[in-house]
Amino acid sequence: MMRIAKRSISNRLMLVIMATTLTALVAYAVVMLAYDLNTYRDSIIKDLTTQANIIAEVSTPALEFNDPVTGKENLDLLRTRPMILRAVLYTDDGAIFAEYSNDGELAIATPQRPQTTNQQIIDGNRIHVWQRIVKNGVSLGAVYIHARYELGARLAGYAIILCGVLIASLGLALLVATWLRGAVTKPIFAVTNVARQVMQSRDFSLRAQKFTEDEIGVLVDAFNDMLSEVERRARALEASNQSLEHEMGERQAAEDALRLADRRKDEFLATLAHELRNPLAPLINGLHILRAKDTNPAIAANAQSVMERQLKQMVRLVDDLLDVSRITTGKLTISKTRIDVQSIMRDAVEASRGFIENCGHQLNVTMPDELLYIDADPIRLAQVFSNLLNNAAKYTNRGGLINFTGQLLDDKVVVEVTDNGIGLAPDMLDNIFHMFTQVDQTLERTHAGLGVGLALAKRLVELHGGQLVAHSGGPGLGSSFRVYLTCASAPAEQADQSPGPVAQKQSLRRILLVDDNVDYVATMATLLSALGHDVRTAHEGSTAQHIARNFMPEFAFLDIGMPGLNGYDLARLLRQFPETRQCVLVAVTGWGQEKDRDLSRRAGFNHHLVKPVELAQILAILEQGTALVTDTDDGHRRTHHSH
Amino acid sequence: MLTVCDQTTSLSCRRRWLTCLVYLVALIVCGSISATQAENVANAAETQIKAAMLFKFLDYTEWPATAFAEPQSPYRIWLLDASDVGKELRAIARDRNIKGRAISVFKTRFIERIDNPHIVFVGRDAEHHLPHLARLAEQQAFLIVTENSQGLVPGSTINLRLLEDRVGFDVSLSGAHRNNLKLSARLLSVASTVEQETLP
Repeated sequence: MMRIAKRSISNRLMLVIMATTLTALVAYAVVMLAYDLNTYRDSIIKDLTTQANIIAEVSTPALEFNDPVTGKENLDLLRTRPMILRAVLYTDDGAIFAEYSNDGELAIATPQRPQTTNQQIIDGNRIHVWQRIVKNGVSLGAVYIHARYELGARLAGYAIILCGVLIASLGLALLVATWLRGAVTKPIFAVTNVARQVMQSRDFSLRAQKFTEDEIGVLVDAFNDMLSEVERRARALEASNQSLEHEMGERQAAEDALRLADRRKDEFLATLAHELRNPLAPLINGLHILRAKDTNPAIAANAQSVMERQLKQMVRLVDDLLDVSRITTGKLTISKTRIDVQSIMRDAVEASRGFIENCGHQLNVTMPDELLYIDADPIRLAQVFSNLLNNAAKYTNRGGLINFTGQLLDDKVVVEVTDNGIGLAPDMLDNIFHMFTQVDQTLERTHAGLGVGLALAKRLVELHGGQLVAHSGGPGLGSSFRVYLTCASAPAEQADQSPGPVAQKQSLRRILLVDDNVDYVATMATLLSALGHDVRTAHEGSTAQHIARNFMPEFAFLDIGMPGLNGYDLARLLRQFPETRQCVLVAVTGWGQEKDRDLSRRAGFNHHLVKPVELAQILAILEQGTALVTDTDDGHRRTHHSH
Repeated sequence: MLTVCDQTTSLSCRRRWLTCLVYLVALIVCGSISATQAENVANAAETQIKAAMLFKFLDYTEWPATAFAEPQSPYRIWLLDASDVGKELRAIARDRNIKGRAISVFKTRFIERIDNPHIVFVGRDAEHHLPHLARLAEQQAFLIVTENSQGLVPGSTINLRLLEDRVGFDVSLSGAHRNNLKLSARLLSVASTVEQETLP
C-alpha cells in the first residue's frame, strides 16, 4: 500500500484522508464504547435498584402482615424482566420470606443471609442488588435481586454496530474524498503533466495552466518562470553554439587556406630553385667554349646566343619574382595612357611569336577593323596578352592552333586568346588564377614557369578596371581567355604620336654612368662606347660630381645607394650646377616601390630604372632625347614574358 | 403517650394474676403435660401477632378529618373484652407514632364506656355487642376488628383469624364504606378474603 501511495499524490491523499477518518472513527468508537458501557452499567444498576425499591415497597404489607404468598406474587411480577434470574424477600430476622427464580436458572444458589446494607455487586456477568425494606424507621427485611449483567454481549453487539458504522463511514469518506481530491490533485497533475512533456520533448515553450491562487498556484508560477528562464538560456546556448560552430568553420577554412598557401609557397620555392638553377649549366658551358682559344667562330656565336637566351630566361624569372612581390605587398601599379589596343596586341604578338613558333603552333591574329582606344598601361597590358599567348602555346600539344582576336562587344573592348589545347576541368577554372597554381603537374617541365603568370595577368587586368575570364569545354577541348576592357574615345593629338626622331636615335650622346658596382659600370660603358656614345664612369658621388661639371653629360645614370654622396644628393647637386642643369637624370636602383619613385622624382630625376637594367632600357631612354618631359613610371621594360 | 384507665388496670392485673396462677398450678400439679404448655405458648404468640396487626392497621386506614379533634390527636384503640391483647399492644405502641400521632390503648368490658374510638377490637366473648357497635361506627367512623375464627361476622369490618400457619384477616369493604373509612389497597392485597361492597 505504501508503494502505491508513493507513486501517486492522489493515492497518498486518499490514504491520508482514509487514515484520518479511520483514526477519528476508531477514537470516536472507543469513547462511545466506554461511555456506553458506563451508561449501561449505571442504567442497569439504577434499573435494578428501582426494581428492588418497587419490590420492597410493594412487599411491605406482605412482610408486615406476614403474607409470603403475596410476597411471592409480588416477586413473580419480575417475570416480565427475563434478565432478572432470581429475587428473594428476606424478613427482618434474616429468614427467606419469599423467593422468585427465572425458569431456566433454578440452579443458582440463594444467599441464606441478607446483606445489612443497600449495595450493588457486579460479579463477572452477574449483578447482585440488595435493598433493605424499612417502614417508619423499622426494618422489615430486605430484597435481593440477582440479574444478568450482559456486558460482553452488549460489547459484542455494540462492536458490530460500530464496525458497520466504521465501514459505512469509511466508504462514505472514500466517496467524498474521491469526489473532492480532484480539487487538490488537478492543479498538481497539470504541473506534473507539463513537466513530463518538457522532459520527454525538451520543449521549454510549454507552460502549466494555473487553476488556483494557493501554494500550488505559487508553484505553477515558479515552474513557469523556471521554464522561461531555461528556454531563454537554452536559446542563448544554441545561438552561442551556432556562432561557435560558424567560427570554427571559418577558422578551419582559414587554416586550410593558410595550409594551401603554405604548400603553394613551398612548391613555388622548389620550382623557383629549379628554374633558377636550370640556366646556369648552359651558361657555364658557354663560358668554357668562349675561353677556349681555338674555338670555331660559328660555335662561339652559337654559344653566345645560348648564353643570351639563358640569361634572358633568368631575367624573366627574376622579373616574375619582383612582380609576385609587388602583388603580395599590394604595390603593383600601372600608369595609364590613352592608346589603341591594336598596338598593344602587336607588341604582345611580337613578344610571343618566337615562343609560339618554337612550339610549332599556328597563330591567327584578328585585329579590329577600326582603332579601339583604351586607357591602359601599354607595357603591362602587352605583358598580359603575351602571358595569355604563351600560356596557350604552352598548354597546347605541338602543332596546335591559337587564335588571338580583338573586337568591340557592346561598349567593351574584348581581347580573346583561344586554343585547341588540353583544356581545363571545370573545377580548375577558378583555381588557375591563384598564385603559384600550375594546371598540370605532369606536363613536361620544358616550358614550366613559376605559376604566377595568370594571377599576375588577372591582377593587372583588374587594375585596368577590366575582367579576365577563363572558359573551357572541358579537358581536351581547348580553352579560351577573354579580357574585357572599357572602351575610350580617340585622343585629340593623334598626329603627334609618331614623331620618329630617327636622327636623334642615331645621334651620339655624352653619358655619365655612376655606380659602385664596378663590373656593371664597366660592362655597360663598353657596350655604350661600342655603340659610339661618349661615356664617362664614376664609382662614388663626389667623383661623379666633378666629372659631371667638366664633362657636362646629356644623360646621367646614377645609382642611389652609394658610399659618401648618395644618388638623391648627387642629383640635387647636378640640378643646381648650370653645366648639368639640363642633363637627363636617370635613377638606377634596386628599389621600385612607389615611394622610391616619388623620392627620386623629388630629388630631380627624370627616369627611375629598377635593377637589373638592360641595355635596351638605356637605349630607350636615349631615344627619348634630352627633352625634359615629366616621366611616368616606366618600370622595367620586358622583352620576354613568362607563361 | 400512654393513658391507662384504673378500671382496666385492675381488670388486667387480676387476669394476669389468674394466668400466673394457672401457670403455677399447671407447673406444680401437672408440669409434664406438654400439650397444654404448647397451646399456651401458641396462644401467647397469637395474641402478640394480633396486637401487632391492630397497630399496623392504623397505617393502612384513613379516617375522616372529623375523627380527630386536633392534628396531633392520638389514635384511640379500644379493646372490648380483650385485655390480653391490650398488654401486647401497649408494649408495641409504646414510644411510637403513626403519621405523627401517638396511640392510646383502652380496655373495657362495657360498650357504654367506649368514647371517641378509632379502632374497636371486639374480643370473642363480646361479639353480641356488634350490632350496637355497628350503628355507633356509622355515626362516629371507627374501625371494628373482630377475631371470629369462622370469618367475617355482621358489623365487623376486619376479622382476624388463625390460618394454617399464621394469622390472617378478612376485610369487609361494605363495612368500611358504611363506617366512612378508607382502607388501603395494599392492605387489601394481603387480606385473606375481601368482601366486596354490595352495590345498592
